Amino acid sequence: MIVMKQFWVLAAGGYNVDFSGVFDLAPFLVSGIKITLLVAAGSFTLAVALGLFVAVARVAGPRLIDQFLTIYVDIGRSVPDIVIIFLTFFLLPVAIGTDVDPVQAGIVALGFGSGAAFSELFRGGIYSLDRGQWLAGRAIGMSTPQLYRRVILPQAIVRMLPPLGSQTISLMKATALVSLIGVADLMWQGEAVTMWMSRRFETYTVVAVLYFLLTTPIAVLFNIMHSKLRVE
Amino acid sequence: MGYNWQWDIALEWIPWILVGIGNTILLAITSMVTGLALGVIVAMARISGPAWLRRLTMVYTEFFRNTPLLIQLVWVFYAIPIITGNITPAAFLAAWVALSLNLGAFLGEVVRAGVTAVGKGQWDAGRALGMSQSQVYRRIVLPIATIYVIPPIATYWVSLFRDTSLASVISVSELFFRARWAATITFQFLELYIIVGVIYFLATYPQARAADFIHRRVRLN
Repeated sequence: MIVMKQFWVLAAGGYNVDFSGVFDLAPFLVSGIKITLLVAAGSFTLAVALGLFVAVARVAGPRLIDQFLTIYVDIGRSVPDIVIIFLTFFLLPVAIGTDVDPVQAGIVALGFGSGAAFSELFRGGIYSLDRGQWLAGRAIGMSTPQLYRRVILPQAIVRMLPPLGSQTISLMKATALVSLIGVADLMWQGEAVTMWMSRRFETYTVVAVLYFLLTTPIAVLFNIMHSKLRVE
Repeated sequence: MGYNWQWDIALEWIPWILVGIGNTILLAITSMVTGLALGVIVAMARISGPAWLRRLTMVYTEFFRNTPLLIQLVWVFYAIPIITGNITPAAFLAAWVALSLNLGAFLGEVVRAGVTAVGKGQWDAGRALGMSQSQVYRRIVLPIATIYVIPPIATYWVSLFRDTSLASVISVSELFFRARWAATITFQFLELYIIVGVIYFLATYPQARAADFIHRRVRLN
């Protein structure tokens, strides 16, 4: 088997760039990608569910609930993700009374933080629909849940696909923060590799490229969905 | 589960943590200034630069928009000095560079969208009055584009203010770094992270509301 080894010297510092070690330790990065995808999928599901619930409750629910949920949304967009992650990591075990592993804490924290942003997008999408849609649904005898499920949300979600795409990319990028509470994701494995063999420049470059390869398909996917589902 | 809250110890650390807000604000302001300058340059390059420059700025934009800020910070702090042969830069300097590069990519797109949103009729009108291309840019397009870009810049300012907390990872002594430090010394993790969360909320929420206000004002005009 031929192992491709790339060496070149960067003139500025006379530093030998050598990616071979990083590729030898690629299995670690691959296992990190799996955890990153797990955290991203978990927190995305939580954020969308929470976002939909909060948006509908604020639009259709009583005023008191709207005001209460506004506090949640304001916290979600005013407190940095990193603070929410550390806080959740220490608060969740106390709140539910059992040990929580970092992956679960990370998913809950990111889902909670992004849920606020998602709910604002959904709410904007619901409000952007013409009043006639509500009246038409009512006129043919739909109940409020039916109206939301069959008429309002399908249209609102399609309209909101482009901003939802960029919010999803933000979430995917934010997953790197869970490495700080010890989740063995891509960022964490990258750091582990540098501890092993130094080569920080090469390792972090590869990790950055891998993150780029993880986020780009999200943008492509949302673009395709938007062009397929849009009705004009 | 009974948790032994010890607020008295944690509360004593608040003044010490609050000192960090100086670095938080300084980092946000300096990064906004350079990030905005970079964004304008990138937007200009992408709109009217030569083809190679357009491609280069596009790669820069896509890369910095689609990779986590955390890796950008670590990369600038640890990786860049290795290839340039320099010693590790001051943490604040590295954080400033990383945040500026990150923001420049996002604001480049904002400015580009703002300039492109100025209607073609404005261009034609300027040309019809006998203005040169640069005059049309300076006197008509940029003033109108400025109004378009102010609301998104306000939004990015708010997220920049929150994102400065990531600089704690490369040991910039800002709010969150000091809270983590205090937590490590006192072991009052939960209390201190709640406190720093409240501090961030009190500092950021008024700014978020101000950004909302700017959005509404500009939409009305």
